[in-house]
Amino acid sequence: MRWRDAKLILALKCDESSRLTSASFDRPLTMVERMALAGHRLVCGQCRKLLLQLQFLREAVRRRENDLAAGSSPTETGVLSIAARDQIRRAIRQATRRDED
Amino acid sequence: MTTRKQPHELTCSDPAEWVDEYGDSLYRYAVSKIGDRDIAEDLVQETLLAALSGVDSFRGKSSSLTWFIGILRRKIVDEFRRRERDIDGRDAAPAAPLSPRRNMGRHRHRHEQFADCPAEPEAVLEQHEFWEVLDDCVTSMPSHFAAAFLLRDMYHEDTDTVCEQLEISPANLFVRLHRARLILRRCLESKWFDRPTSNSK
Repeated sequence: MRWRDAKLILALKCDESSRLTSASFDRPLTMVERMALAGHRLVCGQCRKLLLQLQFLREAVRRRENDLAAGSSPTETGVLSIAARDQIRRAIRQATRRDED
Repeated sequence: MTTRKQPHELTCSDPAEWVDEYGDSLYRYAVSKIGDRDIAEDLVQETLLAALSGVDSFRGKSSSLTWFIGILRRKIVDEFRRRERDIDGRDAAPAAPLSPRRNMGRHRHRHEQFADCPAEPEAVLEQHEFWEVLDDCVTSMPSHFAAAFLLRDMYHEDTDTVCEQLEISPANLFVRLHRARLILRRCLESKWFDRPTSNSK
């Protein structure tokens, strides 16, 4: 084991732990990184909490996205204004006409 | 373009009716990502016009709304990338909202104050206000983080695809995603989980 790896495992700091926690959502961590993170989380309640928070946010964001993409939204974020609706309809009509010419 | 097929696969065959059928859903989607209502309206129009010229590529595999949302998603990322370029053009070194080195040297457990995770996450996710706050936090994210966050955590693109689209290295992407997630966490902490705990000694 290289010195750098040993140091990562034995002396992982919170900012590094935070970075690895986020990275774990995006790439497989190396064995050394996993060991360092697990060891750090054993002694650091804040970093255990960070993992739960990021997981919670991830799930929340996923749900919001699915709802919106399916056209259902539990919030009232409004509807197109009448002016915008007319403007878009005109733009589409124009484009359709150009197509047919 | 002159021999455009009729879009008979779409639920609403007349493009003039698209705005009534899908306009509001697309608008709400855009507002939730962009925040600005005028820009959201522009994006809906751009989406429907793009759909019109690409209607041949609609295969009917996905629902019509899913197809429109797919186009809108790309428009939204383009919007953030455009903003990013504008900022880069004005200021070669845009100020980072988080200064990562601020606490270097005197390492303490200096975590952001953040309330414990809700005991019942399900209960939080049932509350309408929570989604409004989440949208607020997402739309107030700096654009260079927002594009990465959108592509990865909202559109669920794989990291290679995101790097390719944003023309950044994986290392850079991981940094942006890390920052974006911490910004979101901090924003939700101040706007929603407004119950600071003092156990971070």
